[in-house]
Amino acid sequence: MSIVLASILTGCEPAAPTLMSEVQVPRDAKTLSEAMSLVAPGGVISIAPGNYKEQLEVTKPNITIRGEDRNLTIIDGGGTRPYGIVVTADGVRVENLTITGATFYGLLITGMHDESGVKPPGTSGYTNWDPSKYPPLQRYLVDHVTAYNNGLYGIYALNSQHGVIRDSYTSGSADSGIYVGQCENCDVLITGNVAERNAVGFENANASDSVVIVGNRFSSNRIGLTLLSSYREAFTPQRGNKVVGNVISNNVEADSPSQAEGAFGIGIGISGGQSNLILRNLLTGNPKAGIVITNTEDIPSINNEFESNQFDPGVSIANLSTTRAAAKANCWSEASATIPTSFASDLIAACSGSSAAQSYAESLTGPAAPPGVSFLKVAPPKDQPQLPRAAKYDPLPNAISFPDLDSVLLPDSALLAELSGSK
Amino acid sequence: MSDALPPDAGRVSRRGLFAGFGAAGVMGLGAVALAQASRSYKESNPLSHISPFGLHQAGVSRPNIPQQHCLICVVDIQSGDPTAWLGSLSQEIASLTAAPSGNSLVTPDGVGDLTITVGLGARPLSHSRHPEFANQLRLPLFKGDSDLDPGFIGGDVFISVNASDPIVLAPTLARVIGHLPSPTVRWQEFGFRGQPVRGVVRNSLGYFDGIIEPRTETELDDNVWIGSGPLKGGTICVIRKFALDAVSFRKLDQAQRDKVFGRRQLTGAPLSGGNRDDEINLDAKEPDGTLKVPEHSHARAAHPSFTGSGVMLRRGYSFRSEPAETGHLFVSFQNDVSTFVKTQLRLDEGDSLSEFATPLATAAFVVLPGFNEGRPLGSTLF
Repeated sequence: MSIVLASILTGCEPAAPTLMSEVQVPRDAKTLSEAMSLVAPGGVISIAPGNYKEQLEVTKPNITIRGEDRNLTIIDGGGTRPYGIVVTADGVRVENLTITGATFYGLLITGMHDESGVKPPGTSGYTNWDPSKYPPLQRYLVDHVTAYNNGLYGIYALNSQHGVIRDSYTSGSADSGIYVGQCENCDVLITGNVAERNAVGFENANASDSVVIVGNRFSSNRIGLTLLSSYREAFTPQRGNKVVGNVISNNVEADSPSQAEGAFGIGIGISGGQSNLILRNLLTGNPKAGIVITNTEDIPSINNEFESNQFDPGVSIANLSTTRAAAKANCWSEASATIPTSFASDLIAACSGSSAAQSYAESLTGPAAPPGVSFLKVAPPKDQPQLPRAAKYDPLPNAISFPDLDSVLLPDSALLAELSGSK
Repeated sequence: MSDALPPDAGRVSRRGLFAGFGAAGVMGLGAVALAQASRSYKESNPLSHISPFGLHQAGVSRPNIPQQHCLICVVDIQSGDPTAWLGSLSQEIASLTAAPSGNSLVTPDGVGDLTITVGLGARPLSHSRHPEFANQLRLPLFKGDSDLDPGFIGGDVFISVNASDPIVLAPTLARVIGHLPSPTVRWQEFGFRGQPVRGVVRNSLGYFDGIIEPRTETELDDNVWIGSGPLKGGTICVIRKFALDAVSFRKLDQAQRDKVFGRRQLTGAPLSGGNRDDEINLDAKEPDGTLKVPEHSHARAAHPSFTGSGVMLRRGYSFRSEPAETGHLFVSFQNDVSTFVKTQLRLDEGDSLSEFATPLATAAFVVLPGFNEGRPLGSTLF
């Protein structure tokens, strides 16, 4: 009896599909998830122009997910699905497509997953999260991706190492356009991106050491860029990023969702961030302050270095740290026009080795934040440039090569401006 | 949703600057970590006897739901022989809470669920064999504390007498105090709690309070009990007495009141959705980016995820007396005083509920490890 049953079951099993080195959607597979099941590790899923109303979880290593037309290959969450693409495998490329209408993330790259699926980032706060249970995802590349009008983040790399996010565009995110979080020795390059009409342009929480943010345009948000320590994720404090040669201007955009805490008119915010280098950025048009530093609970902002950034007259750096976690040893050798005024001499003294608590202000004045706009109603972007298909997709490198930062100059306000704006 | 923005949105306060961390509980995969109130456990039975003996004193984790009434007292003492008075006090507590009838002059109808819990403040600890423990009780002056009379800051001995029957509290306390060397009562307060609804009571402003607490043995070991050394089995108690301006609070409309707490009054559900006992989703937003659980709501301000600290076991009571019409006796137990300190400092920097609260007393005590007939209270310290 059992033998008969076994042979019947065997006979009913479909033959295992032959995995393909390239799967074209919809020619070879009607849906993205079907394409995922057909593609061989290391293969390519090439997606024709179309509006794809599904979520794609990328579970095989070294895959390339490519849209045939960046502006017409659209993964659409429809304002109901939580995410567009979630990458949980190592070595994945996502390029030349658009993701919109996800209620949480457009593109999520995360090492936070196990056999039961993707884990939500962050902790409940009632248990300590054990990072060793979730080794970080290795190697990723996000290239020429457009992510607009997503509910929390456009492009989000969490608990992942050795990645590049480049030449991409995000807008209309109710939290941040691009978010890198929760990694040590991250080895991440963020370059050539535009983030605008978001609550926050670029956000980093607890992503430390080798994070290089160079040559991006984070303008026309409510706040341009944030470096944050957060007890709600692993690996506090945030430390050791290099922010060089970016345009982080005019972050007074009304056509954007509200920032959670009502921020508006700020270029860079550092909350409990440590040993970051902020060098040769254009920080004009941020009327509350070009840079604000403060504490995260008992984590102070310390040892940050600011040099050769360009501000508007009168609104350079403000210190809002509380006395329980005073800002110390933050250095700007040519400090002026700080809030409070006496903070300038503290910044200068820190460059000569002073580690005294630095002067702080209670609050900032400036324009009131206008009402937030629904993330689904923020104006969509213009068409963005295409990335030609590569002749061959080699495995992604084990280590990121960074540009020579010494050669990166203070950018002109026109940096990437041709990609900015809306339809 | 402009009413969700702070009234002075043009000004950026320190706490109202930016943050908006990630961490959304998406896709319904959030692991519920702690025992929640919906977990099945028995409602407190007024007739169930609580043994005074064991690794831990009674009145901290047992009964699992605090008795409905308490008398909390903070006393200063003259230095006597601690071994002598703690020994006689231990015998008295054993006698007063012995099953089935305790001391028939105090509890003629039976001991019921009477518990007596004793803690020592920094000064007696500094005279113990382990004076270093006095440092574990240091509380900074929190918002409003600098206006307090010094008589309402700290104290030598903490006594909490708890029972379903309020009549037995005062004679019990009198007998306990009688064993202290030259006692001077700093302050005492009668506290009461409402009827629990599925294990959780409402506070005096009408909102469910203490919904997520450490309850299992593991959670209590991790967060509440001191795990090693002479204080093993003990814990640290923080007590804060607050006047609550219920008159002003009631003048708010329903939606405003709910935003103060971050929960709906009727159901106790978080403003992020779900049911009362569901974990709050601190990242939930309206489509326009405003937080569903407002930035300064008490549920967000007091949430332990922001401070990187443990979880407190809260066993607070309401009180009512003149001139403060209504008030709250905040009582928390934790194995590290910094759990409380970090949370209170965060509240001081931006908690809507604190706008209605005025501190009247503040203190921290070591709740001594439990005792038995051969091992009196404080035997590891003196």
